[in-house]
Amino acid sequence: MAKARDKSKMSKAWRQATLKRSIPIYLMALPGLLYLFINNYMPMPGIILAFKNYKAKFGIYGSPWAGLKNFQYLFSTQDAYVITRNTILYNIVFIIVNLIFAVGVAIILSELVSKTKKVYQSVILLPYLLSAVIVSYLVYAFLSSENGFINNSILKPLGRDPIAWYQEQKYWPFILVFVNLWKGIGYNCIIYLSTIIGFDRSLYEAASIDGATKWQQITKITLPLLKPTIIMLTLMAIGRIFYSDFGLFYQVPQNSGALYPVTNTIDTYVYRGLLQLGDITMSAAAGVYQSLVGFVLVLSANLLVRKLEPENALF
Amino acid sequence: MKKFLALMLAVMMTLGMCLSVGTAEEARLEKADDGSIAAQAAADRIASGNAPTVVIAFMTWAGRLVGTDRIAEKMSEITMEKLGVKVELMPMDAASYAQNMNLMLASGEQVDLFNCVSVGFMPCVNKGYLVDLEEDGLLATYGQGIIDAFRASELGGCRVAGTLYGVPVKKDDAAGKFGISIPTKYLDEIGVDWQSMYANPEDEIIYTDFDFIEDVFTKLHAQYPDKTTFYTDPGSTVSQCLAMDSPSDMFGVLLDPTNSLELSDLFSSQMYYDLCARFYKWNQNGWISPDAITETNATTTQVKAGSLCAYKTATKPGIRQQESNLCGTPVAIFQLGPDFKGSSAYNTMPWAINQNTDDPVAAMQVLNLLYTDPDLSTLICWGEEGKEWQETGDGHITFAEGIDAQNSEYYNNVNWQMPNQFIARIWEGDSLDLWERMQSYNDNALASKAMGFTFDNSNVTAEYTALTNAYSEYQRQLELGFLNPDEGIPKLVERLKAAGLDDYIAEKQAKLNEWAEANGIQ
Repeated sequence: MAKARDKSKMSKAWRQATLKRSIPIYLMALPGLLYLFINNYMPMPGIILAFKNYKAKFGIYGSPWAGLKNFQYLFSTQDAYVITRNTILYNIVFIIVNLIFAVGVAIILSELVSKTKKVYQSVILLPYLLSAVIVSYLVYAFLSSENGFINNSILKPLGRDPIAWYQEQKYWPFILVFVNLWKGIGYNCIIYLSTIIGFDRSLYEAASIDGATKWQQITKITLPLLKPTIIMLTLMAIGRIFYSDFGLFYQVPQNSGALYPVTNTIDTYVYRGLLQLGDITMSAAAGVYQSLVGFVLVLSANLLVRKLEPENALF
Repeated sequence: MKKFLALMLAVMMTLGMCLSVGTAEEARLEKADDGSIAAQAAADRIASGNAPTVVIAFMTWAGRLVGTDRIAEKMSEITMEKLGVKVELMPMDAASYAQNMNLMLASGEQVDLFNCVSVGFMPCVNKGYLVDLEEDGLLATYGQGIIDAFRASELGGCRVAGTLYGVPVKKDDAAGKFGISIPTKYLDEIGVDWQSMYANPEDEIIYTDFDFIEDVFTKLHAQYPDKTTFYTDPGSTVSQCLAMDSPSDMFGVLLDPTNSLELSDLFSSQMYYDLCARFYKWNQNGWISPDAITETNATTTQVKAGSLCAYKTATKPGIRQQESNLCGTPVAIFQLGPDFKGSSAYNTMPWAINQNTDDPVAAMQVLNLLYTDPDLSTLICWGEEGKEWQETGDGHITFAEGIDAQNSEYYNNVNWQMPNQFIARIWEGDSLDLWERMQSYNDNALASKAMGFTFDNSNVTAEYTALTNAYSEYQRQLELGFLNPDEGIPKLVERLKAAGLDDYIAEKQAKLNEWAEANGIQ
């Protein structure tokens, strides 16, 4: 009994000590938390808009209820299947491809000498900082029918017919995956790279003394140590599987109608449909739908992880 | 010291009272002359000494120019004297106007009067942003000048289900269908004697046919193989080329709008097939650029850059001057279709009062003054005399000394959006009787029977989003001739039917019939 009380006393003191030590860290996190609160939590009551028939005169809360009417347009047509399929499939491919390349590049970068590493890292990060509109014109410089690089400088000298890229659906799943990878890889590998750098170097030294090759070091040390980070980031990506990068799917294909069957996602569909209508309740409904599905997916993916590898689950 | 202050205060208060009594007296006298409630409201406001501010928002191409506040002050001088109201101008850039307005309307920020262009009239009505202008006799009492400026049917264009939510802009209400604009230097180069083609020497539009235009295009294409021969801005191709009426949107149109109120599907019609087939032929001839499907530059920008020879435009009086200015080179205007006035003639960009306004009466009175006071209209259209513009001596106005389009502090080029440009001064280059000509042009154009009808589609928004998506998938491909209409149109129609086109048209027809009955139209 006494011992137990002692223990709880001790742990209480210990907890207080850690709290005291953590205060600076909490302070550092404060601006970020405030931002999160203002940007992501405060607008949450706006979800109510999705169920309202909004009239400015009565305000958000005073407007009459509309039931699920605002959600109807997301499900009522043949497009519903295409946009849901496109959104999910693209995101699954993005998650897999981005993961493989981001981890790969992070490992390569971690092996480089520190001076060149900085240069390479900045160069591959650069596309991430470009706006989607600029990216779309970079792509256009390659694919334009009349002046594009591929048609004029590659296909023509080879004696091939030019391709009307913006009217041919079959190429776009690859183009979009490539552009997304090129644009995002610098950013995606940052967290992996910083994790790898934090690994205990003595593990690698011991391994090389024991005669492990570089490849063995990667597969036996780096990847297993990296697994929790990979799982965490993938789970978070799954949470956004119902969202799509609007710039990528709208700007990069130059909004070309011929490509809609392979480029139309939930976000672009909502944008095109509501551009003239300007109906905020319907766009709120789309947002609620996307985050609800994302929420459910994160929960179930986490459940799965907890079943398989309990220590790596997010919660 | 305290005593002194108290004394001063007392003196000032008494003086103030005397002053206000004085002006109130005068005001009442004035009112006796006029006898109207509107004048009384203005007089009371002047007498009370606390002038409300009316904020006026509109869209511009270059955001807020530096002279804006000065012009607002000048305008306030007029409105203070006549109405006891101050005005504030809030011009916003075209790129962000709709977004900003939506935020301001939703958040309750002060904006009293605004133009619905780009924000959209129907969306504003649906969201309940607009004041019912006839509530408690607002328009009848305080907007007599507006009532006088329009016919009842013209104002009726801003009625939704019988309620008046806006006031149209005085502008060209009709449009010449299928106009083609070509810089004269290209025409001269290929040896087309366009100058002899005008029916009357004072005309600015040449009426011709497709054979002639296609002949010109053939020659242009041969002469300038590196330039694009023809381009049409896809967003407006159908509405600017076909003499049909598309109330509010393209889904359900009047194919014979001068005779019948029966809505049909445009995309299954012969008219649409012919248009697409023509552009398909033009595309096959190499007259349309292979990059047209992703083109985002405006037609006139392309002409200015020297990469385009001819483009489609809607025509109206003053069009030749307007397009020449935009292209930076003189153009000749050819027209292949009739002059036509559709149902949306009066509700594309009406002025409206925000439901959130503190003082709808003041807002209405300012709006009324904008339709009736030439000095006020000239100020908001062209700026201040001596600073932005000066008289030319023959009745026109032009840039003031040392001022041009670049360095002017108030040169917005959005007079088509201002309430009444007809009463403002006329800029050099346009004929002095431009507005009389415009009026007779408006009056003589073929008018749709559905003119003034606005479709409230709030019951079929789900269908509308699906239809918009289906149409935009095929729009550029068909209307720029990239897709053979024999294959493309059936596919488009099939997609539209699946998206609920028939239900949408049925709903529109029901609303149209209701409207026709209420307005006594057969």
